[in-house]
Amino acid sequence: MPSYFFHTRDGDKLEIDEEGTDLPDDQSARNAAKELLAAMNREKLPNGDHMSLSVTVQNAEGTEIYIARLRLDGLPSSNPNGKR
Amino acid sequence: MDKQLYLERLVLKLETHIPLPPAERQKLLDLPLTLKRFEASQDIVREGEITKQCCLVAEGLVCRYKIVGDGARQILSLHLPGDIPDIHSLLIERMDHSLGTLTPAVVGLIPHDAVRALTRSSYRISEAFWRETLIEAAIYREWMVGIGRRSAPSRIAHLFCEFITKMTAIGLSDGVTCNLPLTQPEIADALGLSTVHMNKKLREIREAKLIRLRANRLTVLDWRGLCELADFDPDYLHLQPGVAKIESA
Repeated sequence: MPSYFFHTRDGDKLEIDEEGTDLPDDQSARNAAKELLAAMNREKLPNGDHMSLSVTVQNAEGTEIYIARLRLDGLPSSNPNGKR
Repeated sequence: MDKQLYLERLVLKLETHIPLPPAERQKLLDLPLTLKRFEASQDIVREGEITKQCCLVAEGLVCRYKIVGDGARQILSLHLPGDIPDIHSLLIERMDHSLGTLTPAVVGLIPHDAVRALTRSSYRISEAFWRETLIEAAIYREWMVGIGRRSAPSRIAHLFCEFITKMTAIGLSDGVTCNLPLTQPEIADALGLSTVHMNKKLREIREAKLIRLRANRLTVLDWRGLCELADFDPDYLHLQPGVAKIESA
C-alpha cells in the first residue's frame, strides 16, 4: 500500500507529517484528509472569530495531490435584533 | 497440559476480581475444553449466529466488533487470555455482534451445557461470571465516555492505560512494558478515530515521552503523565488491591 503524508496547518502553525500513513489509493487519501480536517475542527474551538485549517496530502513521490481547507469567519450581525 | 494452563488463566482472570475457594477453583479447572486455533483477523462467532458454546480466550487478542452500514468497523471491546467474551451467550444465544481475532489466537470452546451445570452447582461461580459481565459493562461505560467526550489524545492514552493495567493483572506484563499487538487502524477502530488522525495524535503522545511504542511493544515512560492525559482512574476495572501496579520505565 502506498504511503501518504498529511501536513496540517492551523493559522500560522504548520505541522509536517514525517511518518505518513499507508492507504490503498489517492481517493482514500483524499477522504482521509477531509476526515482529518473535520476532526481538527471538532478538537479546536476558535479563540477569536477567525480560524483557518488545512490539510495538504503528499504522496510517496513527494507530489502534492490534494489540499482540503476549512475557514471560519464569525461576523457581527447587521441585524442585531434578529428580526427578518 | 495446555488445556489445564488455559483453564488456570480463566481462574486467574476471575480471581483478579475476587478470590475463589479451592473447591470452586477445581470445578473451573475440570471444565471440558476443545481448543481451536485461529489466524489473525478471523471471525470466531459472527453476528446473528446462534451458539451452543462459550469461547475462552486461551492465547492471543480477541475483540468484539460491529460493522456499520458504510462498512466501517467499531471495535467494542478487547479480550485477553482468561476472558470469556461471549459468556452472555449462555442466556442470550443469538449473537448481536461478532467476535473475532486481532492476532493469531487459541480459543477454548466450552459447551453451554457444561457451564450451565457448573453455575447451577455453584452460586459462587455463578456470581463470579455475573460479576465479570457487570465489570465488562463498567468498561463499556468508560469506553462510551471516551468516545463521546474525551479528546483523541486522551482516548489513545486511555486505551494504553487500560491495556497495560489488564495485562499486568493477569500476569502478562511486569507493569512497565507489555505486548500491544494492535495495528494503528485497529486502535483507530476501537477509539472511533480515523487512522490518519490517530497516527498524528499518537505521534504527539510519543513526542511528549509518555510512552514508547515500538514493534508492538508498549513501554510506559511516564505513568502519571499518561494517566493525566488519559483521565484514567482504574476504579472501573474493579481489580483486587495490588494486582496491577504500573510504573514508569
